[in-house]
Amino acid sequence: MGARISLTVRELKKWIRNPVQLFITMIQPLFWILLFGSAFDLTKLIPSNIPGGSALVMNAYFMGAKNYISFLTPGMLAIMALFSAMFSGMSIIWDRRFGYLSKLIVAPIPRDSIVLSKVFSSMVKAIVQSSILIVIAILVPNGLVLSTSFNIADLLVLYLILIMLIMGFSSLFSIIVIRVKKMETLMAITNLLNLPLMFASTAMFPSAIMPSWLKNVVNYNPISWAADSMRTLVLQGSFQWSGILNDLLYLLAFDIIMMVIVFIVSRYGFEE
Amino acid sequence: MGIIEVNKLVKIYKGGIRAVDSINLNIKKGEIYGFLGPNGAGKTTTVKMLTTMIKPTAGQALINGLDVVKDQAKVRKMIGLVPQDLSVDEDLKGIENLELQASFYGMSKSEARERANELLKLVDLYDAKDRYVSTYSGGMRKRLDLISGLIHNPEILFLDEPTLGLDVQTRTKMWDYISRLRKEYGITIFITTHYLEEADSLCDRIGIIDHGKIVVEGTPSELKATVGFDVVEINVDDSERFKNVLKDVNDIEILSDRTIRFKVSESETYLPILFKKIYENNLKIQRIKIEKPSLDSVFLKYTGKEMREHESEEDIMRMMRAIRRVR
Repeated sequence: MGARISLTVRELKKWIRNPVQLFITMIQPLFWILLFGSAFDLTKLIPSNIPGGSALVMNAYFMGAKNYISFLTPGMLAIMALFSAMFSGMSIIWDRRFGYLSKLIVAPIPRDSIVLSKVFSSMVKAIVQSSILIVIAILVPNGLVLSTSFNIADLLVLYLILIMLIMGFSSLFSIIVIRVKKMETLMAITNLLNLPLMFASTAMFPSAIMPSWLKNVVNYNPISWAADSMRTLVLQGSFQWSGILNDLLYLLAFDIIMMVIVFIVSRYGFEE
Repeated sequence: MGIIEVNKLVKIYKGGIRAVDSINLNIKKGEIYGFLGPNGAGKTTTVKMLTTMIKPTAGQALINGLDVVKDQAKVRKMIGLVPQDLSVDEDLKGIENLELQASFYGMSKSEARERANELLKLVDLYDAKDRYVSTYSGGMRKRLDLISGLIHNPEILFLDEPTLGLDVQTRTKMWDYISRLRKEYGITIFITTHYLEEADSLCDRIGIIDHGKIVVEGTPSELKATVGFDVVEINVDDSERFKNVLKDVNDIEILSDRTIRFKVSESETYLPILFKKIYENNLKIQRIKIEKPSLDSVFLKYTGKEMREHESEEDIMRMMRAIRRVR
């Protein structure tokens, strides 16, 4: 376990000590909430002259959220986790370019520790970022309205979901990066993956307004599983497994598959 | 039995490039072995195979009797590597880099600290140990890199181009540190290099590799002896008369009526005899210059290339990169 922990600590030290990176990490959630919350606010389209129309639409399409930001916040958490996972995974290429990877390859450490340190550290980063995002979402005007019965169990499971999501995605990106040597190639691949993952999900819009082909895609997107289950926790409160169990099991399956691939690929894939 | 034993080692990369073509090596414990060759000759590929980074296509390499493929894990514990490109983490402090490296080898925190301090003192970095590596100069980084390859007390240290991109002064200092390491720890050092002076001053034995094959091997003086001659250039008051004195010497060249040049196999023993003759013949010497054979001439003889000419574009790029990163 030694190298896995010490390499994770290395990642976290680098993160905390880089003031610009840390600041951006902290400020980014604000942008996400303000920009996406204002730009994509579909609820503004609800005509105000129909009595009770707003509640009707919110219940039918937005899981009964009080406003769009309340609907959006869990989705934003999932997307932020996706980006955090992506950057962590990508940092393997920096280790390669700065020569550090060759040192790791020659050391008698389990190969998976190189990948797992990225996975673990991005979990920690995402937890910090998510907490900030939740606080900001509550503080902004017309912001996140938590269910009145939202409790500590809801919060803990919400973090669990985030961790599961990060685990899957940072593994996925690490696997991609292991063999990629050029930054340009990596950029192209991650851009290709990111936008579809973000928009073909229920992170920002309810699937009810999507065409049926897209609904099919959305249902298989881990971002949707995470966003939907966190939304249930945030908007319904009074924690119970029943509403989210399916999504959690999907996420678990996703994680297990990714972890198996990580172990195999990192064992045989790391070469100069 | 040598501490490094290599038998008919081959590496063929995808696309059929034979980077290393059936080489044999036998390196003794405590030796500093220099691996010389032009760019793309197969030096780094050999190091990568010996340090378990890549698998050989064929042949066998044993480190302390252990196979680099089958006993990979054990081999890794025994060796230290200082790769060609800098491999210290500049966002960490000097001491943190060493402690992190030590954790890879399962060393305890106190053990690591003790060893780190000892090594830091050895390369005069102790006072800078709590500074971030990003504030280090190029030479300091390279020194830190050097000792981080030694943190776990390996039996063999691989140094891949340890002084590439460093200025002459820093380079000479690095040699100093490297020989200090051998003196202190009796460690076996396998060093690849471009700089012939470096190989000459550091190495007990040298192998020259070209096109993936070892073309010649021996101690620096053995190798220099294969090129043969010392060149003596002498100014005398009468070169015609002087020629008669040199009757027993071949290859005499008269450059002007006062300057004459000739080759002898060993100037140290020949010159006293010559001086005696000059004295007996009542001649006067105005100036004398002796050129000893250098590894440059050895290199030229065996690879047909001048070392200097061979600093290819890739080299220059790498050097530029190293310099940029240091700033």
